[in-house]
Amino acid sequence: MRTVGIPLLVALALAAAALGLAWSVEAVILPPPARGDLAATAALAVLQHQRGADSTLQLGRGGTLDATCMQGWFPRRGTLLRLSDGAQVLDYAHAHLTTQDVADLEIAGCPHVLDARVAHLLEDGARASSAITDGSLAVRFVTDRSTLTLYLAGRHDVPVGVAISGPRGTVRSRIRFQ
Amino acid sequence: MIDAPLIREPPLASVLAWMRERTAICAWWLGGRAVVLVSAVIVHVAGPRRRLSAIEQKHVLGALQSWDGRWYRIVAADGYLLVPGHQSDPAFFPLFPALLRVMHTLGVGYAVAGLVLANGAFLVALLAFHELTATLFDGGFARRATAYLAIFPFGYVFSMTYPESIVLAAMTLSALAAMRGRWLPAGALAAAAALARPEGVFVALPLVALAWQTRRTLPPIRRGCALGAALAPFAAAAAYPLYLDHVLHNPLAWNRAEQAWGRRFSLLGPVHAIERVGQAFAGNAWVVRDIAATILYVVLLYAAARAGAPRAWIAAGTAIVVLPVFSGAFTSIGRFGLLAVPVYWGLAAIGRRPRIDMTIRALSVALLAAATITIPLVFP
Repeated sequence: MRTVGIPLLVALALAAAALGLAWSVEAVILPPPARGDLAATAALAVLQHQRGADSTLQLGRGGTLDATCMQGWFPRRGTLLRLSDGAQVLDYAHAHLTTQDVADLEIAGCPHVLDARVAHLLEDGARASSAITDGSLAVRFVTDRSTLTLYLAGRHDVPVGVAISGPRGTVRSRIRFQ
Repeated sequence: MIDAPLIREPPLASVLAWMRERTAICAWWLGGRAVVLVSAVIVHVAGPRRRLSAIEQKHVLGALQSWDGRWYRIVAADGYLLVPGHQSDPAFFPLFPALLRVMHTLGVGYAVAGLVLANGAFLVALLAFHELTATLFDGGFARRATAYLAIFPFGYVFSMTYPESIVLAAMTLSALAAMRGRWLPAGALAAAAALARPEGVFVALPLVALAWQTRRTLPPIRRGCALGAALAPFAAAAAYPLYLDHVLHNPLAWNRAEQAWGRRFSLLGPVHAIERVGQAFAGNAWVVRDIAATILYVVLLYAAARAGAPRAWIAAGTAIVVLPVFSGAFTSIGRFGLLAVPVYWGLAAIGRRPRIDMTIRALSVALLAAATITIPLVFP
Protein backbone atom coordinates (compact mmCIF):
# COMPACT_ATOMS: atom_id res chain seq x y z
CA MET A 1 0.00 0.00 0.00
CA ARG A 2 2.80 2.37 1.02
CA THR A 3 4.73 1.73 -2.20
CA VAL A 4 1.74 2.52 -4.40
CA GLY A 5 -0.58 4.66 -2.26
CA ILE A 6 1.84 7.42 -1.23
CA PRO A 7 3.25 8.03 -4.74
CA LEU A 8 -0.26 8.05 -6.17
CA LEU A 9 -1.53 10.52 -3.58
CA VAL A 10 1.46 12.81 -4.09
CA ALA A 11 1.06 12.60 -7.89
CA LEU A 12 -2.64 13.43 -7.71
CA ALA A 13 -1.97 16.32 -5.34
CA LEU A 14 0.63 17.74 -7.74
CA ALA A 15 -1.69 17.32 -10.73
CA ALA A 16 -4.45 19.11 -8.80
CA ALA A 17 -2.00 21.90 -7.93
CA ALA A 18 -1.00 22.23 -11.60
CA LEU A 19 -4.66 22.43 -12.62
CA GLY A 20 -5.45 25.02 -9.94
CA LEU A 21 -2.38 27.10 -10.75
CA ALA A 22 -3.03 27.01 -14.51
CA TRP A 23 -6.67 28.00 -14.00
CA SER A 24 -5.63 30.83 -11.64
CA VAL A 25 -3.10 32.20 -14.16
CA GLU A 26 -5.88 32.43 -16.75
CA ALA A 27 -8.51 33.81 -14.38
CA VAL A 28 -6.26 36.40 -12.72
CA ILE A 29 -4.34 37.69 -15.74
CA LEU A 30 -6.72 37.51 -18.70
CA PRO A 31 -9.70 39.87 -18.76
CA PRO A 32 -13.17 38.28 -18.94
CA PRO A 33 -15.24 39.17 -22.03
CA ALA A 34 -17.47 42.22 -21.67
CA ARG A 35 -21.26 41.80 -21.31
CA GLY A 36 -21.80 43.46 -24.69
CA ASP A 37 -19.45 41.04 -26.48
CA LEU A 38 -21.10 37.99 -24.92
CA ALA A 39 -24.54 39.34 -25.83
CA ALA A 40 -23.37 39.96 -29.42
CA THR A 41 -22.16 36.35 -29.78
CA ALA A 42 -25.45 35.08 -28.28
CA ALA A 43 -27.31 37.20 -30.85
CA LEU A 44 -25.18 35.62 -33.61
CA ALA A 45 -26.26 32.16 -32.45
CA VAL A 46 -29.91 33.31 -32.78
CA LEU A 47 -29.35 34.93 -36.20
CA GLN A 48 -27.74 31.76 -37.58
CA HIS A 49 -30.98 29.86 -36.94
CA GLN A 50 -33.24 32.36 -38.74
CA ARG A 51 -34.22 32.26 -42.41
CA GLY A 52 -35.99 35.59 -42.67
CA ALA A 53 -37.30 38.68 -40.88
CA ASP A 54 -40.06 41.29 -41.09
CA SER A 55 -39.14 44.76 -39.94
CA THR A 56 -40.29 48.34 -39.68
CA LEU A 57 -37.68 50.93 -40.60
CA GLN A 58 -37.80 54.37 -39.00
CA LEU A 59 -36.06 56.71 -41.41
CA GLY A 60 -34.18 59.80 -40.31
CA ARG A 61 -36.66 62.23 -41.91
CA GLY A 62 -39.60 60.78 -39.91
CA GLY A 63 -41.12 58.33 -42.38
CA THR A 64 -41.39 54.58 -41.95
CA LEU A 65 -41.00 51.65 -44.33
CA ASP A 66 -41.95 48.01 -43.93
CA ALA A 67 -39.39 45.45 -45.03
CA THR A 68 -39.39 41.70 -45.58
CA CYS A 69 -36.21 39.73 -45.80
CA MET A 70 -36.09 36.13 -47.07
CA GLN A 71 -33.39 33.52 -47.52
CA GLY A 72 -33.83 31.17 -50.51
CA TRP A 73 -33.40 30.77 -54.29
CA PHE A 74 -34.16 33.92 -56.38
CA PRO A 75 -33.18 32.10 -58.73
CA ARG A 76 -29.71 31.94 -57.13
CA ARG A 77 -29.25 31.15 -53.47
CA GLY A 78 -29.14 34.34 -51.46
CA THR A 79 -31.13 36.91 -49.54
CA LEU A 80 -33.98 38.97 -51.00
CA LEU A 81 -35.04 42.19 -49.30
CA ARG A 82 -38.36 43.81 -50.31
CA LEU A 83 -39.23 47.32 -49.08
CA SER A 84 -42.79 48.72 -48.98
CA ASP A 85 -41.77 51.54 -51.38
CA GLY A 86 -41.23 48.90 -54.09
CA ALA A 87 -37.46 48.76 -53.90
CA GLN A 88 -35.72 45.41 -53.53
CA VAL A 89 -32.18 44.21 -52.95
CA LEU A 90 -30.89 40.77 -53.91
CA ASP A 91 -27.78 39.58 -52.12
CA TYR A 92 -26.01 36.42 -53.32
CA ALA A 93 -22.41 35.27 -53.46
CA HIS A 94 -20.26 37.58 -55.61
CA ALA A 95 -23.13 40.08 -56.02
CA HIS A 96 -21.95 43.68 -56.33
CA LEU A 97 -23.90 45.65 -53.75
CA THR A 98 -23.61 49.33 -52.98
CA THR A 99 -22.88 50.52 -49.45
CA GLN A 100 -26.52 51.65 -49.25
CA ASP A 101 -27.77 48.16 -50.29
CA VAL A 102 -25.70 46.53 -47.54
CA ALA A 103 -26.93 49.08 -44.99
CA ASP A 104 -30.56 48.34 -46.05
CA LEU A 105 -30.03 44.57 -45.62
CA GLU A 106 -28.49 45.12 -42.18
CA ILE A 107 -31.09 47.57 -40.90
CA ALA A 108 -33.88 45.26 -42.10
CA GLY A 109 -32.41 42.55 -39.89
CA CYS A 110 -31.62 40.11 -42.73
CA PRO A 111 -30.20 37.32 -40.53
CA HIS A 112 -27.27 36.15 -42.67
CA VAL A 113 -26.13 39.65 -43.59
CA LEU A 114 -26.37 40.89 -40.01
CA ASP A 115 -24.61 37.75 -38.75
CA ALA A 116 -21.76 38.24 -41.23
CA ARG A 117 -21.42 41.94 -40.33
CA VAL A 118 -21.32 41.43 -36.54
CA ALA A 119 -19.04 38.38 -36.83
CA HIS A 120 -16.68 40.34 -39.10
CA LEU A 121 -16.53 43.18 -36.55
CA LEU A 122 -15.77 40.74 -33.71
CA GLU A 123 -13.16 38.87 -35.80
CA ASP A 124 -11.48 42.19 -36.50
CA GLY A 125 -11.14 42.73 -32.78
CA ALA A 126 -13.92 45.35 -32.47
CA ARG A 127 -15.46 45.20 -29.02
CA ALA A 128 -18.99 46.24 -28.11
CA SER A 129 -20.24 48.50 -25.38
CA SER A 130 -23.64 47.77 -23.86
CA ALA A 131 -26.42 49.60 -22.02
CA ILE A 132 -30.03 48.89 -21.08
CA THR A 133 -32.38 50.97 -23.29
CA ASP A 134 -36.21 50.71 -23.15
CA GLY A 135 -36.08 47.29 -21.57
CA SER A 136 -33.71 45.84 -24.16
CA LEU A 137 -29.94 45.57 -24.16
CA ALA A 138 -28.30 47.94 -26.65
CA VAL A 139 -25.01 46.50 -27.93
CA ARG A 140 -23.01 49.13 -29.80
CA PHE A 141 -20.11 48.71 -32.24
CA VAL A 142 -18.32 51.93 -33.15
CA THR A 143 -16.28 51.84 -36.37
CA ASP A 144 -14.50 54.56 -38.34
CA ARG A 145 -17.48 55.12 -40.65
CA SER A 146 -20.58 54.25 -38.64
CA THR A 147 -22.05 52.96 -35.41
CA LEU A 148 -24.03 49.72 -35.46
CA THR A 149 -26.37 49.09 -32.52
CA LEU A 150 -28.16 45.80 -31.93
CA TYR A 151 -31.14 45.84 -29.56
CA LEU A 152 -31.44 42.47 -27.82
CA ALA A 153 -34.22 41.12 -25.64
CA GLY A 154 -34.91 38.08 -23.49
CA ARG A 155 -32.74 35.50 -21.81
CA HIS A 156 -31.25 34.40 -25.16
CA ASP A 157 -30.39 37.92 -26.38
CA VAL A 158 -32.72 37.76 -29.41
CA PRO A 159 -32.23 40.74 -31.77
CA VAL A 160 -35.38 42.91 -31.77
CA GLY A 161 -33.98 46.02 -33.43
CA VAL A 162 -31.04 47.58 -35.25
CA ALA A 163 -29.77 51.14 -35.51
CA ILE A 164 -27.09 52.41 -37.87
CA SER A 165 -25.68 55.90 -37.39
CA GLY A 166 -23.50 57.40 -40.09
CA PRO A 167 -22.67 60.74 -41.68
CA ARG A 168 -26.20 60.90 -43.18
CA GLY A 169 -27.98 60.41 -39.86
CA THR A 170 -29.51 57.50 -37.98
CA VAL A 171 -31.87 54.77 -39.21
CA ARG A 172 -33.60 52.47 -36.73
CA SER A 173 -35.66 49.34 -37.15
CA ARG A 174 -37.80 46.89 -35.22
CA ILE A 175 -37.34 43.26 -36.24
CA ARG A 176 -39.59 40.20 -35.99
CA PHE A 177 -38.14 36.92 -37.18
CA GLN A 178 -40.36 34.75 -39.39
CA MET B 1 44.56 20.90 9.61
CA ILE B 2 43.91 24.32 8.21
CA ASP B 3 40.91 24.67 5.99
CA ALA B 4 41.62 26.33 2.68
CA PRO B 5 39.68 29.59 2.42
CA LEU B 6 36.55 29.15 0.36
CA ILE B 7 36.72 31.57 -2.54
CA ARG B 8 33.29 32.32 -3.92
CA GLU B 9 32.96 33.85 -7.34
CA PRO B 10 30.65 36.86 -7.37
CA PRO B 11 27.29 35.90 -8.94
CA LEU B 12 27.83 38.17 -11.94
CA ALA B 13 31.23 36.59 -12.64
CA SER B 14 29.79 33.09 -12.47
CA VAL B 15 26.98 34.12 -14.80
CA LEU B 16 29.55 35.61 -17.19
CA ALA B 17 31.67 32.45 -17.03
CA TRP B 18 28.57 30.38 -17.73
CA MET B 19 27.72 32.66 -20.65
CA ARG B 20 31.30 32.49 -22.00
CA GLU B 21 30.96 28.72 -22.25
CA ARG B 22 27.84 29.23 -24.30
CA THR B 23 29.08 32.04 -26.52
CA ALA B 24 28.77 29.88 -29.64
CA ILE B 25 25.09 29.19 -28.89
CA CYS B 26 24.43 32.90 -28.34
CA ALA B 27 26.23 33.64 -31.61
CA TRP B 28 24.03 31.14 -33.49
CA TRP B 29 20.95 32.66 -31.88
CA LEU B 30 22.10 36.14 -32.84
CA GLY B 31 23.00 35.09 -36.39
CA GLY B 32 19.77 33.18 -36.99
CA ARG B 33 17.61 35.96 -35.59
CA ALA B 34 19.55 38.56 -37.60
CA VAL B 35 18.64 36.64 -40.79
CA VAL B 36 14.97 36.68 -39.77
CA LEU B 37 14.89 40.32 -38.66
CA VAL B 38 16.74 41.60 -41.75
CA SER B 39 14.41 39.57 -43.99
CA ALA B 40 11.39 41.04 -42.16
CA VAL B 41 12.79 44.55 -42.72
CA ILE B 42 13.23 43.73 -46.43
CA VAL B 43 9.56 42.67 -46.50
CA HIS B 44 8.64 46.02 -44.93
CA VAL B 45 10.72 48.04 -47.37
CA ALA B 46 10.30 46.16 -50.63
CA GLY B 47 8.39 42.94 -50.10
CA PRO B 48 4.81 41.83 -50.66
CA ARG B 49 2.67 43.27 -47.86
CA ARG B 50 -0.84 43.06 -49.27
CA ARG B 51 -2.16 40.51 -46.78
CA LEU B 52 -0.81 42.30 -43.71
CA SER B 53 -3.18 44.56 -41.78
CA ALA B 54 -2.73 48.33 -41.94
CA ILE B 55 -1.05 48.38 -38.50
CA GLU B 56 1.31 45.54 -39.43
CA GLN B 57 2.24 47.33 -42.66
CA LYS B 58 3.25 50.42 -40.71
CA HIS B 59 5.60 48.63 -38.30
CA VAL B 60 9.10 47.84 -39.56
CA LEU B 61 8.80 44.29 -38.12
CA GLY B 62 5.08 44.09 -38.88
CA ALA B 63 5.44 40.78 -40.76
CA LEU B 64 6.61 39.11 -37.53
CA GLN B 65 3.47 40.33 -35.72
CA SER B 66 1.03 39.08 -38.34
CA TRP B 67 -1.34 36.10 -38.71
CA ASP B 68 -1.95 34.42 -35.32
CA GLY B 69 -0.03 37.22 -33.59
CA ARG B 70 -3.07 39.44 -34.10
CA TRP B 71 -5.32 36.86 -32.34
CA TYR B 72 -2.93 36.53 -29.41
CA ARG B 73 -2.93 40.32 -29.03
CA ILE B 74 -6.75 40.37 -29.09
CA VAL B 75 -6.91 37.73 -26.32
CA ALA B 76 -4.33 39.63 -24.27
CA ALA B 77 -6.22 42.90 -24.58
CA ASP B 78 -9.87 41.79 -24.43
CA GLY B 79 -9.99 38.16 -23.30
CA TYR B 80 -11.59 35.22 -25.09
CA LEU B 81 -14.76 35.39 -27.18
CA LEU B 82 -16.30 32.49 -29.12
CA VAL B 83 -17.93 33.80 -32.29
CA PRO B 84 -20.28 30.96 -33.30
CA GLY B 85 -19.71 29.63 -36.80
CA HIS B 86 -16.77 31.97 -37.44
CA GLN B 87 -13.03 32.01 -36.74
CA SER B 88 -12.41 33.16 -33.18
CA ASP B 89 -9.75 33.26 -30.50
CA PRO B 90 -10.52 30.31 -28.13
CA ALA B 91 -8.47 28.31 -30.69
CA PHE B 92 -5.36 29.90 -29.10
CA PHE B 93 -4.01 28.58 -25.79
CA PRO B 94 -3.79 31.06 -22.89
CA LEU B 95 -0.21 31.23 -21.56
CA PHE B 96 1.26 33.38 -24.33
CA PRO B 97 -1.52 36.03 -24.27
CA ALA B 98 -1.29 36.03 -20.46
CA LEU B 99 2.44 36.79 -20.69
CA LEU B 100 1.73 39.50 -23.29
CA ARG B 101 -0.75 41.08 -20.90
CA VAL B 102 1.73 40.97 -18.01
CA MET B 103 4.35 42.72 -20.18
CA HIS B 104 1.74 45.26 -21.27
CA THR B 105 0.89 45.96 -17.62
CA LEU B 106 4.61 46.67 -17.10
CA GLY B 107 4.41 49.34 -19.81
CA VAL B 108 5.55 47.40 -22.89
CA GLY B 109 3.30 47.61 -25.96
CA TYR B 110 1.71 44.36 -27.16
CA ALA B 111 3.63 44.44 -30.47
CA VAL B 112 7.05 44.80 -28.82
CA ALA B 113 6.14 42.42 -25.98
CA GLY B 114 5.36 39.63 -28.45
CA LEU B 115 8.66 39.98 -30.26
CA VAL B 116 10.73 40.29 -27.06
CA LEU B 117 9.05 37.25 -25.48
CA ALA B 118 9.38 35.07 -28.57
CA ASN B 119 13.01 35.92 -29.34
CA GLY B 120 14.13 35.89 -25.69
CA ALA B 121 12.48 32.54 -25.06
CA PHE B 122 14.18 31.16 -28.17
CA LEU B 123 17.62 31.92 -26.70
CA VAL B 124 16.57 30.08 -23.52
CA ALA B 125 15.27 27.21 -25.69
CA LEU B 126 18.59 26.97 -27.57
CA LEU B 127 20.62 26.90 -24.33
CA ALA B 128 18.34 24.26 -22.77
CA PHE B 129 18.23 22.21 -25.97
CA HIS B 130 22.04 22.21 -26.15
CA GLU B 131 22.30 21.06 -22.54
CA LEU B 132 19.69 18.33 -23.08
CA THR B 133 21.32 17.10 -26.29
CA ALA B 134 24.82 17.10 -24.76
CA THR B 135 23.46 14.98 -21.89
CA LEU B 136 21.79 12.47 -24.24
CA PHE B 137 24.46 12.38 -26.97
CA ASP B 138 27.85 14.18 -26.95
CA GLY B 139 29.22 17.71 -27.16
CA GLY B 140 29.86 17.79 -30.92
CA PHE B 141 26.44 16.34 -31.70
CA ALA B 142 24.83 18.91 -29.37
CA ARG B 143 26.67 21.85 -30.99
CA ARG B 144 25.59 20.72 -34.44
CA ALA B 145 21.95 20.07 -33.46
CA THR B 146 21.76 23.46 -31.68
CA ALA B 147 23.17 25.30 -34.70
CA TYR B 148 20.61 23.59 -36.95
CA LEU B 149 17.79 24.54 -34.59
CA ALA B 150 18.99 28.19 -34.57
CA ILE B 151 18.75 28.44 -38.37
CA PHE B 152 15.99 25.89 -39.10
CA PRO B 153 14.04 27.12 -42.18
CA PHE B 154 10.64 27.14 -40.43
CA GLY B 155 12.33 28.71 -37.40
CA TYR B 156 11.28 32.22 -38.42
CA VAL B 157 8.19 31.38 -36.33
CA PHE B 158 10.44 31.48 -33.23
CA SER B 159 10.78 35.23 -33.88
CA MET B 160 7.08 35.88 -34.52
CA THR B 161 4.35 36.79 -32.02
CA TYR B 162 3.70 33.05 -31.58
CA PRO B 163 4.22 30.87 -28.46
CA GLU B 164 6.40 28.21 -30.17
CA SER B 165 9.71 29.40 -28.68
CA ILE B 166 8.19 29.51 -25.18
CA VAL B 167 6.84 25.96 -25.57
CA LEU B 168 10.18 24.67 -26.86
CA ALA B 169 12.00 26.33 -23.95
CA ALA B 170 9.53 24.93 -21.41
CA MET B 171 9.65 21.41 -22.90
CA THR B 172 13.45 21.17 -23.00
CA LEU B 173 13.91 22.78 -19.56
CA SER B 174 11.30 20.42 -18.12
CA ALA B 175 13.12 17.37 -19.49
CA LEU B 176 16.46 18.72 -18.22
CA ALA B 177 15.04 19.30 -14.75
CA ALA B 178 13.60 15.77 -14.70
CA MET B 179 16.93 14.26 -15.78
CA ARG B 180 18.53 16.04 -12.82
CA GLY B 181 15.89 14.71 -10.45
CA ARG B 182 14.17 18.06 -9.96
CA TRP B 183 10.65 16.84 -10.43
CA LEU B 184 8.73 19.86 -9.14
CA PRO B 185 10.31 22.35 -11.59
CA ALA B 186 9.97 19.67 -14.27
CA GLY B 187 6.23 19.46 -13.60
CA ALA B 188 5.80 23.24 -13.48
CA LEU B 189 7.63 23.70 -16.80
CA ALA B 190 5.70 20.84 -18.45
CA ALA B 191 2.47 22.47 -17.26
CA ALA B 192 3.62 25.79 -18.75
CA ALA B 193 4.33 24.08 -22.10
CA ALA B 194 0.86 22.54 -22.18
CA LEU B 195 -0.77 25.84 -21.23
CA ALA B 196 0.91 27.56 -24.18
CA ARG B 197 0.25 25.02 -26.97
CA PRO B 198 -1.61 21.68 -27.05
CA GLU B 199 1.59 19.98 -28.33
CA GLY B 200 3.13 20.81 -24.95
CA VAL B 201 1.37 17.83 -23.34
CA PHE B 202 3.65 15.44 -25.25
CA VAL B 203 6.59 16.35 -23.02
CA ALA B 204 4.79 13.99 -20.62
CA LEU B 205 6.16 11.03 -22.62
CA PRO B 206 9.86 11.62 -21.85
CA LEU B 207 8.91 12.52 -18.27
CA VAL B 208 7.02 9.22 -17.85
CA ALA B 209 9.98 7.33 -19.30
CA LEU B 210 12.40 9.05 -16.90
CA ALA B 211 10.10 8.45 -13.94
CA TRP B 212 9.83 4.77 -14.89
CA GLN B 213 13.62 4.39 -15.25
CA THR B 214 14.26 5.88 -11.81
CA ARG B 215 11.31 4.28 -9.99
CA ARG B 216 13.40 1.80 -7.98
CA THR B 217 15.93 4.36 -6.77
CA LEU B 218 13.42 6.98 -5.58
CA PRO B 219 11.71 7.07 -2.17
CA PRO B 220 7.84 6.96 -2.33
CA ILE B 221 7.27 10.72 -2.07
CA ARG B 222 9.79 11.52 -4.82
CA ARG B 223 8.28 8.76 -6.93
CA GLY B 224 4.96 10.55 -6.52
CA CYS B 225 6.61 13.81 -7.54
CA ALA B 226 7.96 12.14 -10.68
CA LEU B 227 4.52 10.79 -11.58
CA GLY B 228 2.96 14.15 -10.71
CA ALA B 229 5.39 15.93 -13.06
CA ALA B 230 4.25 13.65 -15.90
CA LEU B 231 0.58 14.34 -15.08
CA ALA B 232 1.07 18.12 -14.73
CA PRO B 233 0.86 18.96 -18.48
CA PHE B 234 -2.47 17.11 -18.78
CA ALA B 235 -3.79 18.92 -15.71
CA ALA B 236 -2.69 22.31 -17.08
CA ALA B 237 -4.28 21.56 -20.46
CA ALA B 238 -7.49 20.52 -18.68
CA ALA B 239 -7.57 23.88 -16.90
CA TYR B 240 -8.16 25.62 -20.25
CA PRO B 241 -11.66 24.18 -20.98
CA LEU B 242 -12.55 24.79 -17.33
CA TYR B 243 -11.55 28.43 -17.74
CA LEU B 244 -13.50 28.70 -21.01
CA ASP B 245 -16.53 27.29 -19.21
CA HIS B 246 -16.04 29.93 -16.51
CA VAL B 247 -15.88 32.93 -18.88
CA LEU B 248 -17.80 31.76 -21.97
CA HIS B 249 -20.09 29.15 -20.35
CA ASN B 250 -18.84 26.67 -22.93
CA PRO B 251 -16.11 24.16 -22.01
CA LEU B 252 -16.00 23.04 -25.66
CA ALA B 253 -15.24 26.53 -26.98
CA TRP B 254 -11.74 25.40 -28.07
CA ASN B 255 -13.18 22.55 -30.18
CA ARG B 256 -15.83 24.84 -31.67
CA ALA B 257 -13.24 27.44 -32.58
CA GLU B 258 -10.95 24.77 -34.10
CA GLN B 259 -13.87 23.55 -36.23
CA ALA B 260 -14.40 27.07 -37.52
CA TRP B 261 -10.68 27.09 -38.48
CA GLY B 262 -11.36 23.93 -40.51
CA ARG B 263 -9.94 21.37 -38.05
CA ARG B 264 -12.08 18.34 -37.17
CA PHE B 265 -10.21 15.43 -35.63
CA SER B 266 -11.27 11.94 -36.72
CA LEU B 267 -9.69 8.51 -37.11
CA LEU B 268 -10.02 8.85 -40.88
CA GLY B 269 -8.29 12.25 -40.79
CA PRO B 270 -5.12 11.11 -42.62
CA VAL B 271 -7.27 9.57 -45.39
CA HIS B 272 -9.25 12.81 -45.73
CA ALA B 273 -6.00 14.83 -45.69
CA ILE B 274 -4.62 12.81 -48.63
CA GLU B 275 -7.96 12.83 -50.49
CA ARG B 276 -8.19 16.60 -50.20
CA VAL B 277 -4.63 17.38 -51.34
CA GLY B 278 -5.79 18.28 -54.86
CA GLN B 279 -8.57 20.51 -53.55
CA ALA B 280 -6.23 22.09 -51.01
CA PHE B 281 -3.62 22.71 -53.72
CA ALA B 282 -6.23 24.40 -55.92
CA GLY B 283 -7.18 26.67 -53.00
CA ASN B 284 -3.64 27.42 -51.83
CA ALA B 285 -0.59 25.96 -53.54
CA TRP B 286 1.49 26.58 -50.41
CA VAL B 287 0.07 23.34 -48.97
CA VAL B 288 2.92 21.65 -50.87
CA ARG B 289 5.31 23.26 -48.39
CA ASP B 290 3.53 21.64 -45.43
CA ILE B 291 3.34 18.24 -47.14
CA ALA B 292 7.09 18.42 -47.83
CA ALA B 293 7.66 19.43 -44.19
CA THR B 294 5.64 16.44 -42.96
CA ILE B 295 7.71 14.03 -45.06
CA LEU B 296 10.96 15.73 -43.99
CA TYR B 297 9.99 15.53 -40.30
CA VAL B 298 9.16 11.81 -40.57
CA VAL B 299 12.55 11.16 -42.24
CA LEU B 300 14.36 13.17 -39.57
CA LEU B 301 12.51 11.37 -36.76
CA TYR B 302 13.65 8.08 -38.30
CA ALA B 303 17.24 9.38 -38.50
CA ALA B 304 17.04 10.44 -34.84
CA ALA B 305 15.80 6.99 -33.84
CA ARG B 306 18.69 5.41 -35.78
CA ALA B 307 21.10 7.77 -33.97
CA GLY B 308 19.92 6.42 -30.63
CA ALA B 309 17.51 9.12 -29.48
CA PRO B 310 15.37 7.94 -26.54
CA ARG B 311 12.19 6.19 -27.69
CA ALA B 312 9.96 8.39 -25.53
CA TRP B 313 11.26 11.48 -27.35
CA ILE B 314 10.72 9.82 -30.73
CA ALA B 315 7.16 8.95 -29.67
CA ALA B 316 6.56 12.57 -28.56
CA GLY B 317 8.00 13.93 -31.82
CA THR B 318 5.94 11.52 -33.90
CA ALA B 319 2.76 12.50 -32.05
CA ILE B 320 3.50 16.21 -32.65
CA VAL B 321 4.06 15.68 -36.39
CA VAL B 322 1.47 13.00 -37.16
CA LEU B 323 -1.53 13.90 -34.95
CA PRO B 324 -2.38 17.16 -36.82
CA VAL B 325 -2.92 15.06 -39.97
CA PHE B 326 -5.86 13.45 -38.12
CA SER B 327 -7.62 16.84 -38.45
CA GLY B 328 -7.92 16.10 -42.16
CA ALA B 329 -5.31 18.58 -43.42
CA PHE B 330 -1.55 19.10 -43.72
CA THR B 331 -1.96 22.82 -43.04
CA SER B 332 0.67 24.35 -40.71
CA ILE B 333 2.49 21.07 -39.96
CA GLY B 334 5.71 22.87 -40.92
CA ARG B 335 5.15 25.05 -37.85
CA PHE B 336 3.75 22.35 -35.53
CA GLY B 337 6.78 20.12 -36.22
CA LEU B 338 9.13 22.82 -34.87
CA LEU B 339 8.29 21.46 -31.39
CA ALA B 340 9.31 17.89 -32.29
CA VAL B 341 12.69 18.00 -30.53
CA PRO B 342 14.14 14.81 -32.10
CA VAL B 343 13.83 16.38 -35.57
CA TYR B 344 16.97 18.41 -34.85
CA TRP B 345 18.75 15.32 -33.53
CA GLY B 346 17.91 13.57 -36.79
CA LEU B 347 19.39 16.47 -38.72
CA ALA B 348 22.52 16.40 -36.53
CA ALA B 349 22.88 12.67 -37.21
CA ILE B 350 22.69 13.28 -40.97
CA GLY B 351 25.16 16.17 -40.75
CA ARG B 352 28.03 14.20 -39.19
CA ARG B 353 30.29 14.62 -42.24
CA PRO B 354 31.76 18.14 -42.53
CA ARG B 355 30.66 18.58 -46.15
CA ILE B 356 27.05 17.58 -45.40
CA ASP B 357 27.16 19.73 -42.26
CA MET B 358 28.21 22.80 -44.28
CA THR B 359 25.56 22.08 -46.92
CA ILE B 360 22.80 21.83 -44.28
CA ARG B 361 23.91 25.09 -42.69
CA ALA B 362 24.13 27.02 -45.97
CA LEU B 363 20.80 25.65 -47.22
CA SER B 364 19.11 26.35 -43.88
CA VAL B 365 20.21 30.01 -43.81
CA ALA B 366 19.04 30.55 -47.41
CA LEU B 367 15.69 28.85 -46.76
CA LEU B 368 15.23 30.71 -43.45
CA ALA B 369 15.62 34.06 -45.22
CA ALA B 370 13.34 32.99 -48.09
CA ALA B 371 10.69 31.61 -45.73
CA THR B 372 10.66 34.85 -43.70
CA ILE B 373 10.05 36.84 -46.87
CA THR B 374 7.00 34.66 -47.65
CA ILE B 375 5.25 35.56 -44.35
CA PRO B 376 2.89 38.11 -45.97
CA LEU B 377 1.92 35.54 -48.63
CA VAL B 378 1.11 32.55 -46.46
CA PHE B 379 0.50 31.86 -42.79
CA PRO B 380 3.08 29.63 -41.06
